[in-house]
Amino acid sequence: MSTATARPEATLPPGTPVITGWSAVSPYGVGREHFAAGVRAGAKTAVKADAALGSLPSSDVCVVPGFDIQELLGKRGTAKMDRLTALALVASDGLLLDGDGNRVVETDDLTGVVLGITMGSLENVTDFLRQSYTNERPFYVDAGRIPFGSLNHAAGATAIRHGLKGPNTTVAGGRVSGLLALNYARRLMHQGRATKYLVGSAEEFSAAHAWFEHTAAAPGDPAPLLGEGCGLFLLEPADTAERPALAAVLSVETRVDIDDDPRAAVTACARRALDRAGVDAADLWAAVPCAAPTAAGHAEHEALAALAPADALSRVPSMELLGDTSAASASFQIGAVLAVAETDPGSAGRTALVTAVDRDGAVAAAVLRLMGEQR
Amino acid sequence: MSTAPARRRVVLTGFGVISSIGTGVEEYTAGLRAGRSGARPITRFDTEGFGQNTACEVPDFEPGRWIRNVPLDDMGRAGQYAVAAARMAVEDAGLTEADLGERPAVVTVGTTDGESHDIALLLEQELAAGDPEAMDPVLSRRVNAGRLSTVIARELRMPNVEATTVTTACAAGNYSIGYGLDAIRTGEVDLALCGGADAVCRKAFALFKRFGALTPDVVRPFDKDRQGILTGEGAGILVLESLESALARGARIHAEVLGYGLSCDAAHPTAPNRDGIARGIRLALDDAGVQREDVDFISAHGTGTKANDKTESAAIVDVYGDSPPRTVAVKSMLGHSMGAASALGAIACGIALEEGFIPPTINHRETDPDCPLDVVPNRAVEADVRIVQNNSSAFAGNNAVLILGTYGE
Repeated sequence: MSTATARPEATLPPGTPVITGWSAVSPYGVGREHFAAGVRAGAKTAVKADAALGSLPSSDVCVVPGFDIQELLGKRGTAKMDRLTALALVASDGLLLDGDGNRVVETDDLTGVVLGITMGSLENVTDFLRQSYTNERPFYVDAGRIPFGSLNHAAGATAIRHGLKGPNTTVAGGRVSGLLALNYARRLMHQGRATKYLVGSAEEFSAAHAWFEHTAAAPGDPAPLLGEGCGLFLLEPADTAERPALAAVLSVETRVDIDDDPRAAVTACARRALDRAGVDAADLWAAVPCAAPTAAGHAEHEALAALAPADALSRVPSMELLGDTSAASASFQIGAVLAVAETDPGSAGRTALVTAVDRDGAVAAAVLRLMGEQR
Repeated sequence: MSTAPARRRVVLTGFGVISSIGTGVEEYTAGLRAGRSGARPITRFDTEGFGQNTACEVPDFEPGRWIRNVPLDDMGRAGQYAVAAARMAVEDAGLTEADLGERPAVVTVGTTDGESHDIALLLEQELAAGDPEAMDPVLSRRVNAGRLSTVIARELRMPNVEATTVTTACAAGNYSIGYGLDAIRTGEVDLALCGGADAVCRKAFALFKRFGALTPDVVRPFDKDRQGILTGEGAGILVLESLESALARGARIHAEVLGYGLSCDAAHPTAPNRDGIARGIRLALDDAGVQREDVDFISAHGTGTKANDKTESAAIVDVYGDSPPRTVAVKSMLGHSMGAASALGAIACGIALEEGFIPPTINHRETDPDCPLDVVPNRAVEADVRIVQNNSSAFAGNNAVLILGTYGE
């Protein structure tokens, strides 16, 4: 590290949540390294969809390459597993295990899990209903797939896989869900309900999801380019963190756009997040919008462009490269900030703003301080 | 572990209820006291081929009575229940839109299935046309669960809120209330609208039928002849407020939120877990600073399935010993209203504290020896109720337990 200043941890209030590890399963591949390399290269991820996905509204997709559930997770209990759960489990392995499958993160009975989603596995629920409508009797449905249809299954399965008995929660908020999850974990750790948290968000690509998004798109808009994946973080209070902090979560703020004015809502939310963090927008090292392919996404970009320095806005390549990853997006944005920061010593001690807007009106913003750790 | 500052006290100042046994606090109270059943023939979807057609649907719901600012088509049935209950709750709390406005707040709605009824309608459209292009955009735009919370903010004109939908299935109502409690305890907000909402849907009905967990008869929690659940619906929204805020505006206080506990079984995706439930109860009692002997009754998760009631009873005995508090199952009346269940249970507890009675477990004939509990069979009892525990559990091994008390000490 080139900076001669004191370690940034020294300036954090006790209890400040810090990110001490992360993992990503993304259209760049399985694992943090693939994600980091892809982000830093600004690589595109769109590919022609595999015919096995069936009829799709758009031929291009941004899916996790080579994501074979049974190959990655073994055959036991995975034959009927939904993709969303598998994405979360593979990401959790990346966070808690080393390359040989050994646990490298200590957990206890107060280790929590909070996962952000949109509407779970739409493939699972629509397949289930399709069976109900088309099979001989309406309840002749595949019982083995039922557990995977619970909206909280991915978070619960993560706990089962790793024996995590602390607070286990699923929050739904589409593109803002990763930041809702972060705020949830921050609050519960502050109240002493958890000693550390696995926090993140996930979205799966499926034909069902693609058709829902296609029909929901504004009239005249092309079918959105969709992505998928899961980003997960290890969050601990700064004063008890067992590993070096990569970033501190200085603030998470939220808002609802009640006037169909996303630019104003993002501006208000981002300003409040900066105020709460005690950070001047002019000093931001990075500002990363969710880059949703919608009018709200454009408004979000305009809001940040008016607020943050140009070099901050261009610091991290656009999330458009990953497609619209919906619930996964905010976690990918944070991961992208960490990926760019880890090869830029000048990021140490600097701050990043991450924002998100969702179709249902939710808006969120988080401010992170980069701690200069090279992991 | 981080040390929380001196805790702020949190009270309940408003209740909003949409339920199969009554809309609004007054009717809901009358239903709980009388031991009313919400079971009736299903009207929401075609039940042909199921061999049964009973659920606890909300009769005669009039969304236009409560929803004034957002077009009704912007939300599905679950969203309409959530918004109606939220409107009712803020009115019960004596809060006007002018009081709300830019005020920072948490809005958190729990759900199991969200707008899964709309998802089924979309699939019907696709199947009828043989083409997914036939799906109605009005429906596909509103199916995501996050909307259950944001639409409340839009209806009540509250932009400065955190709208978090908790989809921790059948424990989601208690999770939401707990989150509101934590948000107020931290001092970041003074107000939270929390609860749960779900709507009867084919998905839940087919799922529980397939699992053999749908009773062909009535819901008989803790009875030796219990045969399962009836699916249900509705919404319960509670106004949580810091005590200072409630006192400053002279609000009527229904009850105090004393604490809650969350535990994860980390064991099985669908089976209830005795140790996990017991741990959740202990965490809740500790958080509330309440001694076991001070709990006047337990509002159980009490679904009426063989597995739940036996496991939950064992967990209660593990914590409380051989003479546990009276333990009732409001699901005997309401069916299993999924994400709304523990929110409606919490409101039932609040009403019990305020009105001085314990609601009954109806349809009860003979208590299962595996459930050694006084379930207050069939008739409500008058009682001086001061502290109440509200249980909930969900698939995926999630348990959330809430402790409420009378306000005054």
